Amino acid sequence: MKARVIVYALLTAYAVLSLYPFLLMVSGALKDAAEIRLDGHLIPSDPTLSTLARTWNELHFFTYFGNSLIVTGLTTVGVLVVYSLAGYAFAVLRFPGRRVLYGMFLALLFVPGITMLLPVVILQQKLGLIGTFPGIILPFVNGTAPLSIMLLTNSFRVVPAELKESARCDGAGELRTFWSIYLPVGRPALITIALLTAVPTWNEYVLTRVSLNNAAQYTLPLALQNLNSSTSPQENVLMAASLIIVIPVIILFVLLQRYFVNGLQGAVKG
Amino acid sequence: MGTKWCGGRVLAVVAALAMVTTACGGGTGSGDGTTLSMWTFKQTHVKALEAAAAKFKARTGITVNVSAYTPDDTFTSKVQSAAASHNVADVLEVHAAGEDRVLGGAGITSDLAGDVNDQYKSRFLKGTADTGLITDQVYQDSLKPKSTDPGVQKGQLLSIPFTAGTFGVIYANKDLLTAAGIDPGKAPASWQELISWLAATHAKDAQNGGITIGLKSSSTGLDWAMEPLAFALLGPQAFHDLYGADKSKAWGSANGQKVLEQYNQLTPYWTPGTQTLGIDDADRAFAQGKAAFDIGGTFTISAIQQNGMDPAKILSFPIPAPEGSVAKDFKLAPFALTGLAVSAQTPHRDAALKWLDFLTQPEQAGAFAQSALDLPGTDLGANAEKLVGPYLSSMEAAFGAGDSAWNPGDSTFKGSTWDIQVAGDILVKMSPLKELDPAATNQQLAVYNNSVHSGQ
Amino acid sequence: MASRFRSREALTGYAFVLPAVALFAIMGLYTVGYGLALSFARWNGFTPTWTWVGLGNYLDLIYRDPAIAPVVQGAALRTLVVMIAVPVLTVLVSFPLAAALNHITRLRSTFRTVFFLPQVTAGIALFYAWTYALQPDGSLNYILRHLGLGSIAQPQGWLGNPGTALPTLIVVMVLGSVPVAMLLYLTGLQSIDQSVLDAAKVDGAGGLRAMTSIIWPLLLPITGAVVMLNLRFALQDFQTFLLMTNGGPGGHTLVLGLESYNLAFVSGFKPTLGLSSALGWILFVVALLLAALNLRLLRSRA
Repeated sequence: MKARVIVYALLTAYAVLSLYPFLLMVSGALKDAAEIRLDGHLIPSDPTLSTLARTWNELHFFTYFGNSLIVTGLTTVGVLVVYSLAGYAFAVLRFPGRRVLYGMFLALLFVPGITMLLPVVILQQKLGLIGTFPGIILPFVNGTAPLSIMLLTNSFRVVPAELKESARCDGAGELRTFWSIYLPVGRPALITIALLTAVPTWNEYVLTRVSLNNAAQYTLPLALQNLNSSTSPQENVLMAASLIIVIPVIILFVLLQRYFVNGLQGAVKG
Repeated sequence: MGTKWCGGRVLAVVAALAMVTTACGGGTGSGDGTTLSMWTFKQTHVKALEAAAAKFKARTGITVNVSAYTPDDTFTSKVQSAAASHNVADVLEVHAAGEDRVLGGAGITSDLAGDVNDQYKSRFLKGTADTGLITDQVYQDSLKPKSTDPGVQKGQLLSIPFTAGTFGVIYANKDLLTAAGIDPGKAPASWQELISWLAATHAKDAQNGGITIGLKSSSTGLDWAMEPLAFALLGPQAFHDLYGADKSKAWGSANGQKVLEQYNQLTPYWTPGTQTLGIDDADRAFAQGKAAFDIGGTFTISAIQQNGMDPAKILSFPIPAPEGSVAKDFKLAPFALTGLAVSAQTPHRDAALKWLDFLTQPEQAGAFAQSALDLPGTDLGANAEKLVGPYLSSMEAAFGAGDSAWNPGDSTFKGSTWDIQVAGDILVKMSPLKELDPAATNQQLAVYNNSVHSGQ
Repeated sequence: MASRFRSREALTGYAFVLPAVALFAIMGLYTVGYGLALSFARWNGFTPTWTWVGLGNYLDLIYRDPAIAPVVQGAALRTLVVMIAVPVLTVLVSFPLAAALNHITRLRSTFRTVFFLPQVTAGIALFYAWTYALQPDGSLNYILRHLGLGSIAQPQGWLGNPGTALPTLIVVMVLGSVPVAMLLYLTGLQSIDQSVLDAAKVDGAGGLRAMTSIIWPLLLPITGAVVMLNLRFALQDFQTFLLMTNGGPGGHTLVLGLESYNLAFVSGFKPTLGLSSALGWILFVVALLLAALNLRLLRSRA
């Protein structure tokens, strides 16, 4: 019994720590301009929604939300298409150079993002893609290659060979086999990869910042940064804007976390 | 370029994704007909520039599209990558006395010497017209292996002034001065008096009675506060020698020690956490009454006003010279903060030059000043007060020129790889962090200064 | 017949990996090659030509340039601190958390969801909230003072005191990396055969002893994976530093990734792009060595 109390106390303490920044966002967003100047007390004495309302208007949320959605959505779809094909090939098909290629993708895991940043920007320019969504989507997709290929190859490997043979006997071509047998089996891994891609892409800041330069194309993190640097707002506005930006992610995560958790766990076991 | 990408067979799958968005168009071209594009790194200038563009269009039929890329590093990477494919805007608002030369030396922007004669130059504030000029000294420096602006040619004029101003201006909150028993009617006569004011406001309210500056960019402490102080204290020659190769006069010498001891008097009075504040954060804190003093430049007033502080409650003055200073009648020299440059590739050079001319004429410059709350490089003369308000115009009156005026735009006497951030970090370790005393700070600056001279 | 079949299979294989390889060839190989070439040159990003300097950039960074090498060495030391602290703390926090979660049934998924929030929202918004919490008159100091712990409060702000700035950033990073580690441990714990635990109980091993002497060794591969992931994260992450302190105060949180970013994008037009690139490659080599070392250690244990 005592052990259980300690366990719950430990978990609750860590939960409070995890929630702390979000409590601050809520607390800050509910304060008005005068109260935010006082000390850092958490509970607003006179909560107001006007800061949130004003920030909502200033932020042009839907424009930037739409941009974030396009970038994140296309990146995720791109990753799923490109690397499930590759994962199938690595897991199932035999062809010369297979191991070398696989190793090459894994090595990419260790190339620091900062090493690629400048060449990527210059490459975007050469391809005429600077300041465009494909200009950031393509490097984002490529950046997930090591993890995606690893997880998908592993998850396709566990499909019993007999399944494939029986499909073959039914006269199914390679694409049919891939589509109707392997993809359904790999569903948990695909969902995991989708989430592992979507979350960091949604939050990405550095490459987006140096590539996108037309304010109409900004993603939400850039819009937040722009709000901060162009108007130097008070902290209540900043917290309100931050809150507005994290809420969709939190909702999405809460809805999809089952897949996230199961997928990650599956990936480890696989 | 865009078409090649979209038509590429190799990446059919990926390209298909790309088609969904509208992105095949490639970069922002220079436009066609008489449409000019202009890039700036100042968000606060966009509205004023757009208003000017509307008038310009009515007068000449030429359209100007203005885009801002902020913050500075975004602008830099934008121009950097656009330069790689010769896709730069027709007109650029650039950092004067630096970026203009880098771009000109690289052949990205063009020489304006033939288009801007002496009469043209006479419209600018005294001492700013030749900011973009490649003097013999600048040219000689550009030949060194690690120079920042290789490729410049003697006599080139690579930008004309657009906005001007200077560093080393202190803003004080009159209410807090009064509360501490100080007469806010006139500026402190000396550095010592300023320190005594700080002691008074700080004693009154330790939390909100201090002085602030955006030390998250550590270089601000160096070139907005310490350098004007050093210039006043030592006089021009000895100040320049601090950055020279002669160790008996440079950092590490008695002169350096003297400067740092004076500057260190600020240490007890910084507002808590000043070292974590960005430039905008510091101005906001001051406007909110969280600091009694704010160190900045002429441009700081617009940030303070934007944060809702009534200008009537502000006393502003240049950093006061310490008693016994060498530079008698110490003044701040205005220098061009930003300049206008014209792309070397523009097919509309004449239109671009017309736009430059239009922007820098007194009438338009005044309208710009009023709208952007920024001091133009154009001399507004008698209209100044009406156009830019009493604060900027009184500052304009306090400007000086010549040898006894400190010109923060002049860095020719420093080693070419001198990095204000590295030096600024050393200074921050002394004040406000108190990790180094003035002697140790002097020593570290000496080591750094020597390394700059030996490394180039 | 067999060989024809195999060549068809090979062709199909190539077709299936083609999109990935093509993308890699352009976005990966090109940028890697470009970056590598640039690391042997001096360039300010604007001039039409590069000046080749051979290994000069690497030597300048490591020891030769008296103006840059000390800055890089300081940053390397701080990076090393982060690389040790983040993985170790992540393991020390996430393993007990996973064990605790495994121990309970009620509220398990609620706790898990809450723990994950700092990970899925990691980015600029979260950093702004932390920065706001950590300032001199911010929430953290307020709470400490009201709990009677005013002596721990930081009057200069948690990011303003050189002694607390780096540790604070490390804590923020750890909060972001604990969730995935915790989940991996939880998976490991759930896959341990119940009979192993029962056997331990028969031997009289108490809860804590069973944890350290039986379960912990069984989960070593997971620890290896966690350490690996976080070494990489600690070496490469500079966004936290860029947004929260920009290397301050007085350079006390300048790490190698941020220095590389500064050399590339905020160098005041100095010809330092090659230096930036060289620094990136030094990071790559270090990451590779660490990965190899980690793999070796794991193998020798197993």
